[in-house]
Amino acid sequence: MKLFKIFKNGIIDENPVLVQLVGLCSVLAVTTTALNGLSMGLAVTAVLLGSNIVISLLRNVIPDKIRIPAFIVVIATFVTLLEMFLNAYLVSVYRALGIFLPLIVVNCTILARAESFASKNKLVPSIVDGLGMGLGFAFAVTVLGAVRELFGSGTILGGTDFVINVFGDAYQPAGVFVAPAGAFILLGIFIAVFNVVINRKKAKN
Amino acid sequence: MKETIKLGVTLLIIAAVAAGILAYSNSITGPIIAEREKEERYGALLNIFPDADEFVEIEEDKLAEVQETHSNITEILEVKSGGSIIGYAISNFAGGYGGDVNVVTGINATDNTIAGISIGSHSETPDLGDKIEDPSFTDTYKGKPTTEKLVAVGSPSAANEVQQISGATISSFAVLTAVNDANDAYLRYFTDIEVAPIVEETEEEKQERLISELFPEADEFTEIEENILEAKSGGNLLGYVIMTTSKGYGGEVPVLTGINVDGTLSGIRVGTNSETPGLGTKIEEAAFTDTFAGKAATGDLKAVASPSAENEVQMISGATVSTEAAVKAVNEAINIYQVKFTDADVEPIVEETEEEKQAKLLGELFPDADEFTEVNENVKEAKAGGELLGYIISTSSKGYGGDVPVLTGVSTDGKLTGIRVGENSETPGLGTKIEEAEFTDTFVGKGTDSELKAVASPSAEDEVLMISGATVSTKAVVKAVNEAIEIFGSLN
Repeated sequence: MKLFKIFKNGIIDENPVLVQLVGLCSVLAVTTTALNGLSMGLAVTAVLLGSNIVISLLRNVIPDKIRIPAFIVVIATFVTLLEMFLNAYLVSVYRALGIFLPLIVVNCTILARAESFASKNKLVPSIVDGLGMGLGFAFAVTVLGAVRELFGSGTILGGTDFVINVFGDAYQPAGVFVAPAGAFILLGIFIAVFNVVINRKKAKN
Repeated sequence: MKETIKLGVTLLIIAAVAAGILAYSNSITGPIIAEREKEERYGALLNIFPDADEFVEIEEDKLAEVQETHSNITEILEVKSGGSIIGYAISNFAGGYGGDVNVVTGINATDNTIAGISIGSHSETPDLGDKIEDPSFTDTYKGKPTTEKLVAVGSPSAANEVQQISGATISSFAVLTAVNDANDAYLRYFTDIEVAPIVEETEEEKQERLISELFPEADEFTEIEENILEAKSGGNLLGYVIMTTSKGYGGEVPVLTGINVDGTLSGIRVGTNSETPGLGTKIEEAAFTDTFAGKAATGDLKAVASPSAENEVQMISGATVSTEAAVKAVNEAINIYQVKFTDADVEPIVEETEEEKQAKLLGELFPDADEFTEVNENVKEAKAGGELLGYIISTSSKGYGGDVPVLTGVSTDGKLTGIRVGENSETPGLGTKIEEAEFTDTFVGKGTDSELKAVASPSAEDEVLMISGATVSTKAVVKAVNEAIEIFGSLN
């Protein structure tokens, strides 16, 4: 039961994007389409899972005084691994994420989980926490990407073989949604809606 | 102190393990990434050289040396397999129909044959010129010798023949030129094969060579007048070389005509010109110029597809304008010869000056007028015995090749007496039909009440002839005439 609570914590109660508001740089930059958002979300989940596992295992080995540089080394290693394998096997994702892939190193979501959770908990809870936080991040950026794509380009699932031109060819895309300003506005609306839903649930309970 | 060391060592161990993991995964992914990047960069080259594992740019000095004689070459790569050079990939370009056509020619160093060619960026006509990208075209270059000059033909069979795409002569020829140029550079700079040295011929040397080709026995050429030379051998007069020029497709075409003392042509030579490479430039080739040799210098030569009569020479299919320019220049040369050196009763062909031409055109519009006076810059009055006959209004409008000046004659009763088209740059043989009577005569007698328009078969009062295939030129004239009609309206 406690594991489920940890998982739900990452997805909803302490969603890194919608509640903690961390790692917003890549959130705003990459979420121009749902596919890009999902790719970024899964990449972050993979790194988060890896770093949570290793840091949890090493939590009694890493001296407190140098824990931050040690965390960074671990995270950077996973990001570099991810970068190598994406470049080798999934070039389209590698290209879509571009500079934001190596920048996952400094995504505060990951360092925050290492610092506040993995370094203090056992392996299994750390895995669940990594998964929960990662999927929470992925959920937020995918939805954000889907909405920006829908109004900014008029498509659903753009960049895949199943692309649907929702409004037809006559649709004049609203460029602001693709620009960072549109991302901020949408993110704000998104957070508001999210809070309303959560608060109603809490009130019911 | 002890703690500091412990911290350092711990961090060192973590970093070392991380480095080890990264090194290992790099050894797995590295080759895959490198392979893909190579394919992206050398994709086309790998198709030509499947066995190659490395493409290395040749040294800059060497490239600069090659570019001195082959300035269109942009890059030369050594193609290596297992460390040894198996060939060269030479990138260069040649002028096509829509601009430069970039070509990569792959050459096998082992047997001096073409391994294959790849067409890079170009702007040839879609669905026509861009057929040069089709493997059915590029594959005809495979295995061809670099030691022979390649030629493009409709159905290649001989060792040095490659495909010519029907309807895309110029695009095909651009590729051919580029490949021949690459082959030449390869033979000259990367093999020991003997190639004829590049002769840098100056314009004067070329002129001298062409002249001496017309009279091979002559030992002396003396200029007796501007553009006329006497050819002598041991003091005996053999004939004359007369230089004339005529307007071709791409500008002036200079022609040297050799005329024997017995009144026959010894031959003709075409000098440096700007006709379309591979098409108009065929007028320089012996297949064309030889058809002039032995013709009587009567000045009425004409070009036909299969010459048989005494005054017929070869018409080059697809290069009508260039052929006609050359023939016109020869006929002019013969005219000069007849006037100066024979007692034949011929009028010299005189090139009219711009003013004379203008005066002639004015006279044609009002044949009865004896006086033309300028009212303003664009309007002249035509008078006969002091009585006003009408106006000549000059206007111009943008045609296909630039401004088209038009003179419109309007009589005092508001009828067009005719129009004349002045010096223009419309397409020779097509747009220039606007100068011909067949077109300009359709304006005669039209009223000035409504705007004129051009149609294929004019019948109504306000309709004039639309020249099929020269829509833009026709419309330019009609627009200019309508402007003139407007000006006429404001005069009254």
